Amino acid sequence: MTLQAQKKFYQDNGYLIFNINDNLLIDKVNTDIEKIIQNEKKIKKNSKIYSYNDSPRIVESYKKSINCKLLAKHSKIIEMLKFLYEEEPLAFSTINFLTSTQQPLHSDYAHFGTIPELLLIGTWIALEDINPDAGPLQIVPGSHMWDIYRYSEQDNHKTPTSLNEIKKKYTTYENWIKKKILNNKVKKLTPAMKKGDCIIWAANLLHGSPDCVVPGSSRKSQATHWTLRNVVKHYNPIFSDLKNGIIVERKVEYI
Amino acid sequence: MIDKNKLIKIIAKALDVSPKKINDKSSTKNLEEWDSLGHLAILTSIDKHTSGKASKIETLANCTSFKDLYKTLVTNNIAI
Repeated sequence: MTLQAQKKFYQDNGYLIFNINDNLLIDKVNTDIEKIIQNEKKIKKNSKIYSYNDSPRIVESYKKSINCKLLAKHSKIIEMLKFLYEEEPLAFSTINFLTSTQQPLHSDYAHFGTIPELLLIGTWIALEDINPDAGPLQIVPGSHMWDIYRYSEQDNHKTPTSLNEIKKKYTTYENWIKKKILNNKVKKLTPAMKKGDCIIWAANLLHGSPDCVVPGSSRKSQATHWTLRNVVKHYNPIFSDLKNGIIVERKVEYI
Repeated sequence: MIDKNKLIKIIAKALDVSPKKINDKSSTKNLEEWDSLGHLAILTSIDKHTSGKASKIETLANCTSFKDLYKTLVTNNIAI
């Protein structure tokens, strides 16, 4: 596929897969992650609200490992993002997964908003050949064009004041997605991901790994989130009500 | 006005933990639930209990420990 054809595919489907061809770096990342798990007394993990099994999601590995940082900002990924968005991409977070998240389908935009809207990108790299039984990544092609979910429109924007209330709001969102998928009879896709394969997904693209035949089996991967130079503000959707001018800003620490 | 005990209860409820887990030394560094999401829950809860006064304090969002939060609220005449 030519670069232009890849761009068209991405615009139409909301995702793109290519291989970064850098197994040497990936092997170093795998070694570093093992060391982090073995040596760190306290590993920074993702919020429990968004966890669906006990396998840790190691956040900000790039602060402990130069190899994780190099992988997150791999030149092939940056070049592709620049080409797709015609703007400078800025990486701001990493999550390393050891196994499947078993997380239902969701969009990153339910967690992170940008102004201008939808200038958020996710990249996910397989750090080994992904076993189809290990809870592989699932996506819904074309879902990036769905309307943006607004938490504030569901309950007259009752701002959450506890983690419990946040969880309830998020569960409402997950159920909304499930219903929409069912009603629209949308097609889910489970791309076969080999070591070094990188998927780029657009801000609102549904993804997750809800179907896992053998929970706990190895599914090493590293995800990075990106924003773009022309973003003027980042916001937390669950606390914000854009229609009424309430924007709860999210601080972004660039990698 | 909220006092120290009330602030403990507000934070505990926001983070869904027992008030016994909250004390002068509690912070984002030693309380797992007090992550970025938990921090926002604490801030919105304090704001609700102070009828919107807390959100007017610009420095409050940077307070990542119980001690700092309490001190800032006292300085701004919201806590005693």
